Amino acid sequence: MIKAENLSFSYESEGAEVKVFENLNIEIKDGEFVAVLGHNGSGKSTFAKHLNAILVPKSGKVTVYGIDTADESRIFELRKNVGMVFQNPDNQIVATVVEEDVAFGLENLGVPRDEMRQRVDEALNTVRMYGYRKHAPHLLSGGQKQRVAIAGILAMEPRCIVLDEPTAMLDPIGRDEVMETIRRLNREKGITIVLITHYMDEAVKADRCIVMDRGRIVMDDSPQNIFPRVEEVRALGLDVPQATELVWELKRRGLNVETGALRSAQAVEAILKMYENERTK
Amino acid sequence: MLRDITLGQYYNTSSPLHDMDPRTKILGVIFYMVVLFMASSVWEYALAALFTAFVIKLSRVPISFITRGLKPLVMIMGFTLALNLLMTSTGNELFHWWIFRVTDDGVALAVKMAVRLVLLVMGTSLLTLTTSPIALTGGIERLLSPLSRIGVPSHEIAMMMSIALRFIPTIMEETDKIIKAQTSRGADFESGNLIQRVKAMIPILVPLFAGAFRRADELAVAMECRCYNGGAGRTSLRELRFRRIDAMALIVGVVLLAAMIGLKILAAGGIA
Repeated sequence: MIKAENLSFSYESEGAEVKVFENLNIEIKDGEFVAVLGHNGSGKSTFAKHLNAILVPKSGKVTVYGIDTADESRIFELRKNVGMVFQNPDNQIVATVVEEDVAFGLENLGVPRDEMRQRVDEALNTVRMYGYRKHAPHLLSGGQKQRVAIAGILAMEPRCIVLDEPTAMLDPIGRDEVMETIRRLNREKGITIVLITHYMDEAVKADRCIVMDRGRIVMDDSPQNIFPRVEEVRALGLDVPQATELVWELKRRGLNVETGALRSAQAVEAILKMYENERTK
Repeated sequence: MLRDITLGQYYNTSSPLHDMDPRTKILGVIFYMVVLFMASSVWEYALAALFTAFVIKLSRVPISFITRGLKPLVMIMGFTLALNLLMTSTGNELFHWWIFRVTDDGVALAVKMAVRLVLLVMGTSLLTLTTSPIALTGGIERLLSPLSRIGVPSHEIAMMMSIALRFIPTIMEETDKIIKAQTSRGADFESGNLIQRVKAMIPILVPLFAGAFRRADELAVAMECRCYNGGAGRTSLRELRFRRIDAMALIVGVVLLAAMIGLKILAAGGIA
């Protein structure tokens, strides 16, 4: 369980204090898939950095699996449990060979060689990059590099993975590869996922969305309950998924369609149902 | 393309030389250089050349690949050749031109220096041709590790080298992008004299450095997130193992050194 209590953070810029957020309270349960949304400057990335003590609270408290993130003596235990994947895949790959990079975290933890070999191979298999284990990372595609970065975290056997806009620099294919991998880790391995994103089509795949605006949590609910509130979401400077937007626009223009679709298949279903109703009338 | 450049030109194949422990190869190169600089008579050079040919054959690296490495050194070699040829004043005069006197000693010295340089470059380039960069840094780390007791940061040196190697292609790609971006804005890198061209590099270097610092910062955070804490208590996926082939290589090295010393004693005996 991850728990933030009365969390506040600010930084100084040209002598003035800039508050990122104040009195934030968030609780994330084990095995949850949470998407954190918000436009630039909402504090979502700063919040993510509190989860494995890259930043420590200015006031308030973050407890991750019973470890207080401000406790420096347990920082490695904390980071072993909470892995982090960043936006730019190039800037988080350390080694010149894929498998060496996946082993980096394990080498740091002093894992014996035989066990390391096994965990590296397993992690590479999970992200489906085993065939590339001897490759040079700079020759891989963005999606592949990001999967290698995920494997590097996975090998450390974390209970939670925080991903800070992992698909922002990828093409649509790479984005799908990464999202598919994340979802599988959540479903099959029960790893808690905290996904920071501004792609709404990714957010709908989460169990729960937390919407942040200027350092406050303004919505915290399932995507099914959040996105149909199109006007509210838009007022926060966010988009809604395309499927949601389509049925909402149809409804607004006077068609008797059911709103609330999140994926294109659901939109298709709603529209077909509308025709069905028209005919039987 | 820029991104295909590999530093040190590793030639990927399988050979006894590729199989050796990087530590053996690094020590071997040091050994080889000592032997090469000991050589002075024609026989000693012949021995060194023979050994070089043997090792090249053993490495299964095509000879054209190795001679390619000599090209950038043509200038230096030409300069050394000319200097030795023209500046040696001992020995019998062969011919005279303006203020220069070319002697038989000078010719001999120039040829020897050229041969020494060629052998040196060919022999040492085999180290990088047969050892992948990551194995090389691993070998250097282990060789330097006894020195960490007297304060040499051996792990940090190796880590810096391997990160540098990792980022060469990335930075190359970025340079390529910046050049294209600046060219599309009308920057001119091709015309003008030397000073103008150097000045034209500034719009490339500034964003490149800014980008490199940003990358360094992000990488440092990513490394910390993966529990990086310096060299203490670290294990390694790559195993360095001293095998029979390494022992054999070292024995060959000792034999070579003994042969070289033998030749020297023989030569000295001949004079006496």
